[in-house]
Amino acid sequence: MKVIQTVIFVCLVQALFCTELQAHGSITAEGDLCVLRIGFYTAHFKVFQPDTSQEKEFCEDLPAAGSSIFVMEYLHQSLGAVPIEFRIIHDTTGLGRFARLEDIEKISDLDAVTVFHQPPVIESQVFSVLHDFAEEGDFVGIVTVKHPDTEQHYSAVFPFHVGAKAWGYLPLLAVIAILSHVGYLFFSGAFRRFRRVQRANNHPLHYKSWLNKASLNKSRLNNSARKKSLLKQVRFLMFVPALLLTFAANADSPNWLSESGNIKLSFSSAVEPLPLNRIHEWTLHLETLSGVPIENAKVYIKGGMPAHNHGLPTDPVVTQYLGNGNYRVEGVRFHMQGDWVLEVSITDGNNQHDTVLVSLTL
Amino acid sequence: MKHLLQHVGSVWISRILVLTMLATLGYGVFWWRQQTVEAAPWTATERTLIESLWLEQLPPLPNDPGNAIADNLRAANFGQMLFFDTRLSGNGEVSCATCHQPDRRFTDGLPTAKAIGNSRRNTPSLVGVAYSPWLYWDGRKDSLWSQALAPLEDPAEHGGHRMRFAQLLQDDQFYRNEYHALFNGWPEFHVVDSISAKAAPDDWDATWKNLPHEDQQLIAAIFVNLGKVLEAYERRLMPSSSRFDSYVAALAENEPTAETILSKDERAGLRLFIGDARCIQCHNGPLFTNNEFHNTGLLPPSGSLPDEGRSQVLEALTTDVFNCLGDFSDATEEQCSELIYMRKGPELLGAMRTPSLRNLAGTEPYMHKGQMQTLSAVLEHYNRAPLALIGHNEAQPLGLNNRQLHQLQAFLLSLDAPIAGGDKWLRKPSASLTEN
Repeated sequence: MKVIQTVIFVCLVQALFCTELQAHGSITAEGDLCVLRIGFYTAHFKVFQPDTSQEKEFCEDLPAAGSSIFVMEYLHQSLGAVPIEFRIIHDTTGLGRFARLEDIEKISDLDAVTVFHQPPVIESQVFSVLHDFAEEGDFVGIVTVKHPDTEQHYSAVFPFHVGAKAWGYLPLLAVIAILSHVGYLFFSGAFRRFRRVQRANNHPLHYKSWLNKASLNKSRLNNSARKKSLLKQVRFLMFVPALLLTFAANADSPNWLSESGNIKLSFSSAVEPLPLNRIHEWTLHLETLSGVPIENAKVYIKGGMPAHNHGLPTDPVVTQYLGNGNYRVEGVRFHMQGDWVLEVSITDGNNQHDTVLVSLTL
Repeated sequence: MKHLLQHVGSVWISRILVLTMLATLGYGVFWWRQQTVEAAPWTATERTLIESLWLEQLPPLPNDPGNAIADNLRAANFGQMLFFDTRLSGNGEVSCATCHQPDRRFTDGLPTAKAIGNSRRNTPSLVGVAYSPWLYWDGRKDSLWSQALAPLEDPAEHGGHRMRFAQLLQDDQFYRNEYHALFNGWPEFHVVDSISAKAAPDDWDATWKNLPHEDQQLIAAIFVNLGKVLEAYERRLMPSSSRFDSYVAALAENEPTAETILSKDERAGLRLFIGDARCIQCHNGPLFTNNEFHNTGLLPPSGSLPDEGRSQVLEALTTDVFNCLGDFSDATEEQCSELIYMRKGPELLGAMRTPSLRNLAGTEPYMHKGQMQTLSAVLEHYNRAPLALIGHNEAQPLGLNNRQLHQLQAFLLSLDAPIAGGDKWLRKPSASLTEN
């Protein structure tokens, strides 16, 4: 019975506080991201109020008036090449959350209700605008993007509220929550037991209820801890094959095998040991397992630190084939100590493609 | 009922009292152990990491192939005079030293720089900067000489024009002599009077546009040489050995006195720096910087948009006429690897260059917009590692406690040391030198 009660309680609490999950207009929640759809384009949409909420990310509704930063990170890279127009208007449709593009199109004088307007502009990396809301209220955001080739324009509309959130269903849910608790206590006979105990030995309820609370807290803690450890396990499991590969490849010689197992890669650096923060050259050597050099292949290199989720500080390039399976690589640099993985992709004369993962520790 | 309350009260009060006493005693024992028990000696790995930060390990200053006079002493002395000369400005009041103040380790104590107007970012220190392949917070310049040119013509900074600077070098007998000696002659030129101090910047631009191409190239070459002379001076600004370096020296010699050089907190901070706090990932090497670009999720100052940093300047870098591959550079193409193989891509969004940590004392406020007034605010930020407004914060939350943050701060301040070479490079050269 306790379990059921807890489940009901948790569900209610979730229902009360997870309003961010509800989608309005062209914004939908996908996992942790708020995604804005503008025609066939998509962008990660977020709003910040650094003055009052620091780096807390909002999907659309904002807790207070004041300086607000609207950010669109392009999930569709071509957004970086087309003009984007951004407009915020007072919601005069009276439709609130349900306002749609058609409703906005009916507004005869858009400029009259506009509070912020960014004329079309091309932003190659990220689109961000700042608006200082003078007052709280209901607003509608309109993002318009041009098709890269045609004159077609796409618009996205998202209604949002600025200011303390309206109570909405909150009081109703709170009443239900309280009633369900009282009902549970009543039917489970807790009141009767409590009275009996009180009468029998004068022992107060403080002690017991304190214990109850403690155990409830504990179970909540366990839940979040479990989630975290699960996440860690998943990350760890993903890391293990990479680690095994590293060890297998590094077993006793500085050779690395390709994914198909047909190509052996070794390299020498113009600067030994591998230097930190210094640009230098490498000579890559590629041969088959039986030691036949791989001639005139197309070789590309990229790489990074998987643990830190970033790439190399340069884009190294194979600039010359030196003969005998040797390739000159220019522009190699490492800027952190730790584990690096380079991905060398090789396309030989017969158009056979293969990849070698080179694991290094600096 | 009253009896019940009294009963409960006395039982609980005594329980709480006992618990409090136990807790106090426990904390006392913990504190005492912290104070008296020596931390474990450094492991071999830790010692290697510590020695990698030692100033003694600093490799020789790499050549600047783009600047043939970069290591010329005469050029350095000439550059020092130019660095402090307020005539290198539109209003005659701004010199390089206006923002790069020698007594503040070449910073200015302001969140963002102020000269003729307001600059976008915090004034970075110049100490050890010659080691960096990239200049500015976003690395939009690939050499010191090219960097030195930009503020001179920026209306918010020196607000001058290359024609006026060329005219100044021509008119000042000493400067002209020095130029003559360093660059094998003075390229006599004649431009109309409108570049005089009284003329407005608009007139300069009009005059410049009307100049024949050859004259423009001639003046640009003089301007570039001015930057190269300034670089020769800036390359002399190096950090000197700090208490931390003395500690590493003693450690390397296995001297028992090593432990007296850094306090217990400072040593604990060092352990965190190379370990759990992960500072060494970016602040590596003897200058405590990899001079690379990282997004660390800093908030923009109130009322401003997030700074796009490195990702915003890549295009401009490749087309800059004053870059390593340009006509005014003395470098061959092979010597411009950094520019040719420079990294691009979305992970540079919001990324800024890692600063050295050898000049932290007295150089607040910190970060690219001077967002952080104190070192403890900076450490608090990295301890939390919040989400970035744009791009992705590379740092991860550290979960350090207040005591550990305090130890880290103590360690960071042990890196403080004066600029190498005494006062020589830190003051405006005397007037008598000008008359030589």
